Amino acid sequence: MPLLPPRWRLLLVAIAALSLPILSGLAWLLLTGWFDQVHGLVPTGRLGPDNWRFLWEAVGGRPSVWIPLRNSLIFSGVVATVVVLASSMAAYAISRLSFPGRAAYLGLVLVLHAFPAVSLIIAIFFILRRLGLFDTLTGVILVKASLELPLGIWLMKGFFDYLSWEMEMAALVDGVSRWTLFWRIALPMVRPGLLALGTFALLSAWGEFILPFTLIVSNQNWLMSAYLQTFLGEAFTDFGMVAAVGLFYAVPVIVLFLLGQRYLLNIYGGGVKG
Amino acid sequence: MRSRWWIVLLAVVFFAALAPADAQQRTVVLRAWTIGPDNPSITRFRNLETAAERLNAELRREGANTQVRVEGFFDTTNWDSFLRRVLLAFQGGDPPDIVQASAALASTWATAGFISPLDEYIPRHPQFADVYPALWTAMRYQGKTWAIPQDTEARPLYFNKFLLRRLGWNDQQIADLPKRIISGDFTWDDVMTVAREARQRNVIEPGRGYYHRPVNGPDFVQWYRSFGGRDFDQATGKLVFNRAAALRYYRWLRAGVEAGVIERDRLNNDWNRFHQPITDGDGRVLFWSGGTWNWAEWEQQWVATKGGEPWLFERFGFAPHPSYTKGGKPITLSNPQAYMLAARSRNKDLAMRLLALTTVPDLDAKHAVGSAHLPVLRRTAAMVNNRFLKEVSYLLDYTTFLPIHPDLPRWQDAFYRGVSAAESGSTTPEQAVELVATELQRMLGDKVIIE
Repeated sequence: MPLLPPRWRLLLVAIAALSLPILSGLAWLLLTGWFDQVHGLVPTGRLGPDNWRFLWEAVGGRPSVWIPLRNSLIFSGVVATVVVLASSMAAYAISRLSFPGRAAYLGLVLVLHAFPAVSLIIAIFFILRRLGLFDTLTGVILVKASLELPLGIWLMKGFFDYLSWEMEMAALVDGVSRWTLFWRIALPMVRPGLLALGTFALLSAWGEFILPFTLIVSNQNWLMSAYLQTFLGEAFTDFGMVAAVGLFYAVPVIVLFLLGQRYLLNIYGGGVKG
Repeated sequence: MRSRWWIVLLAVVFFAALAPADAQQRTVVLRAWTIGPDNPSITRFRNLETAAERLNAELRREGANTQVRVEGFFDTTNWDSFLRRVLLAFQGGDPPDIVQASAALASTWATAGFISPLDEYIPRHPQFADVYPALWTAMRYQGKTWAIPQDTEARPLYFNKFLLRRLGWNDQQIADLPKRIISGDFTWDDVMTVAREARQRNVIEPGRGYYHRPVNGPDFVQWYRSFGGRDFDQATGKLVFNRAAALRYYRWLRAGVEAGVIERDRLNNDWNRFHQPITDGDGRVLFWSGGTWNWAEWEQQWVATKGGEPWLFERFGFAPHPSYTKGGKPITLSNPQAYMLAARSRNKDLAMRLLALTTVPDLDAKHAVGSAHLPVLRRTAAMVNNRFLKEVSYLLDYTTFLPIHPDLPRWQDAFYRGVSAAESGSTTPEQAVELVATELQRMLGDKVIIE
């Protein structure tokens, strides 16, 4: 391997130094998850799967981990699907059709994005209660998906804006309906965008805490984030188990990131190069 | 011909669908939410599960086609998050059938219409007859009983014998300390004097002369009372704030901080910073206020690897909290935990049967021994052969309860803010008292007497 110029080597050292806190955090997580006792970053206890017993038994009156895992998979899967479908349709309409109030609508969507979820939470609670959706997975899915929509719509609008209008015009002249045009021609061309948005929505839903923590109270409907939170005790925290649950919670995200990072980077590019 | 077969088949399916209502077993899910937050108190939930097994056996014997299943959880996070969840569930309209919480909350939740009065059910279950009568008093509000006692406890003033010995106390002096507190010979001022001496002679590190809990809780009512305060007026049913008593307490805390025997940031929200120094080495804190349940936490989680309970007996002593004045009465506070029944529960009868089967000596004893809480049944006390429970239960002779008033949480919050202001030094003790008085007046108006 050719040696890097000294300037670059210095930069690498600087980057490594900056990453050290994050890396040591990850190292702590791995070590604490697998050893009985860890002092700083030095394991002092036995290596063993004790901290992972939540996988085969319900720990301390909590439901089995597979229930929140199933709920989290449903939650993030459905949120991502809804966000991708609704955003792409809305974005296509905004990008291609002229309708009254289009500019105002775009502005409004952006304003919605400015509200942090937590500032809306009381109003959301009352709405869900009225609809009978409080403490249900459906309720939180709807809330999360709608809060993700503004970003999705703007993102997808960018992708559709890049598509060549001539191609669509040609299709329309050939007698293709708007729906077919959207479904058969436009959507496949923005596939990188859809995948990127889907991955973002999935990751964001997977890590969501405040909404499920507030809007779900029954433990049968818990998501993984709420399940993990129950291990952080006021009087005593078993950090070994916190680390193990944290790692378990992170595995799907890491897998997804490895598979989807190509599309995530695409978010800054367009649909058709030209 | 073929269509006739279809009709027969449909009829069979139709009647098969109807039949299960009678023939098949119905499983009723009873939802129960419980909390420690200390881990050893998990029997608050486990006992319900055991009782459900016994209830199912009873139901089978009776030939009923119903079985119950307890669903719920045991919260070890903290009271704030648990109570937030309970309130949301009550407000959301689909609360759990059974909620376990401090009995003092019953008045607040009863006023809000969240929980159901139980007077109609209690006489039907003989198990409840053996509960200590004083505990029932703590469950009553406006002439009705709103909860079933789950456990009780006392809140001792603990002291470290090892550190007292290093200060030159002999074994007899140490053994006599609880008696001196009870007789009113050893007061809060003496606690301060000994702590100061320990600091001056470098027996303790700065701030470790006296520890109190790091977050708000019922104990502050107890300390306020031990400084001569009263919080409830029987005649008018109003809450009371006594300026002089609060000032004495706030001044005592401030003096402790200034003398270097109380940490300026003792209210740091961190229980680890409470338990860790208390149990580190041979214990590094001289005096501290805790609860009986802390004993189980220390035994099972903090000193398990270095000797467990014998280690604790060797180093820690306990007594009621002293008075502020010579000859004054000692005090402790019990904040009984209780099971409450949601007003909206659709299975009140079954839930009450479950609670009756939970209120039995063996389960009561299991919880008491496992979590170092005190039993609620008279028969249990005779049954339990546990040194700590035996030695600590005399504290109940000096116990008091929280006043039963729906606005008590507001009183507690205001008082706590005063403690925080005086202790951290952000105001003087005098200003802190005025702060609390003004806030209480603003929040509660004529529902509070400021004296």
